[in-house]
Amino acid sequence: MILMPKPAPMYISLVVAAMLQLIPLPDSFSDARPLWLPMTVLFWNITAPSWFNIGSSWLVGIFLDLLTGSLLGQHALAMVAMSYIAIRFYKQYRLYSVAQRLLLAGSALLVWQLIDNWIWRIDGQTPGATQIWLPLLTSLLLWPWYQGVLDWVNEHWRADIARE
Amino acid sequence: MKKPLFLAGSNPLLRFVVFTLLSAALVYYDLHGHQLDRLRSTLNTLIYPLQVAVDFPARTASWVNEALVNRSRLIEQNSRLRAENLKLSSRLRSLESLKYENEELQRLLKSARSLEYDFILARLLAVSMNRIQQRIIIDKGSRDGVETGVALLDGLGLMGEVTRAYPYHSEAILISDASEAVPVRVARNGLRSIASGTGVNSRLKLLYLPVTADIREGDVLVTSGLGGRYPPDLPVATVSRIASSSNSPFAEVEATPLAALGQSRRVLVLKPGRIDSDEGEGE
Repeated sequence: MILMPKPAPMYISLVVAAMLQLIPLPDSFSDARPLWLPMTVLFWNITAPSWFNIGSSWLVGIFLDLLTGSLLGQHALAMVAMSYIAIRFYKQYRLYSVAQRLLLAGSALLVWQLIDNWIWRIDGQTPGATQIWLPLLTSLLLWPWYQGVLDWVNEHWRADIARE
Repeated sequence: MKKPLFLAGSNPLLRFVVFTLLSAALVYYDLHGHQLDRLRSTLNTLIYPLQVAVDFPARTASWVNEALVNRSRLIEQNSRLRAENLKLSSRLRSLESLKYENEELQRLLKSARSLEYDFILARLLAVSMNRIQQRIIIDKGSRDGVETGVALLDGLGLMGEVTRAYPYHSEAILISDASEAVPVRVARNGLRSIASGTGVNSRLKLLYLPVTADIREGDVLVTSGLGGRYPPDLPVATVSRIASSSNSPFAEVEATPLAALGQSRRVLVLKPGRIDSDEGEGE
């Protein structure tokens, strides 16, 4: 399944994900915030890898670095590693069962989380265990639904353009 | 020739290697040195519209909130604010005389120092507060007079320090960030310590206080001005918990920041220039 490039849903989903990623939340919810932006990048990697490739993921990572004021390249590095896994397995992904899909998404997001936290440590911060595992858990709980929504938007958009 | 069924970009492995090396190099140079500062400043100015866009929902919500306040509530609010203003200005007048008295005494002690500061009013943009890094972004930058290193306050106390000033916006680190430490003293008796962030915005911890130190719950901590990063006498926190373990010579003291670190949407940036006027001549 090779999709035609449809920039609009991609840009909109990325900006919305960036908003969800950065919007202020109370302390108690903040730890459980799903990894919105990585999830969105993962979706586009799996859906249209020939067009949203590792370079695109890297660019989104750099944007996130600038937006959050972290070390330049920190989130970019995590994005690149995550995308590599996604793009290696995108052919199988659509044939997988729900459990297998969760396993793949989980591994990719785990790689993201570990690299991100590893660089936090190099930068002198000390993220706790909940800050690594809780976002991963909420992301995986949301993943099937989130992927469904993005899939729907993607399809729908195409139908709309075709009708005109 | 048969077209491939799947197209995965030219070569994922090559891309992976190239972009990994590129990111690693960026991290390295950002961590060790200032070569990337110019690049960062340029990119950050370019990205400012995106930051405003990300901030948009939060701002719309607060605007709608303000717009929907009905007339009677506005009148009620207005009269309350008037009363408050009156009360505050009368208090200010009595503080004014104390200030002159204080200046007089300090002049006698030959350490005159002006306690007057100027402020720039700024608004928070989308806060990126995960607990790992307590950073905020404000909508005023070097064009408005914000400089790197100046202190940030809300109406209640010290919030943090500007770490990078860009033309239109600035980045600041909160006192609750785990890598941030503020030299403080106890307002009651002048006992000095360092308030270090814990990564949780409702808690700071005081370092290097011996178990025998004269400190109580409820004590107010103000900046000591040592180290020169923060101006002296800004309120920082109140002591909330004191514990001592038998195998450590230091007491474990926790403090609650006075500033509403998680809630304040409007902040004051201390205008640079008048901070360390230790040789101030008074008026």
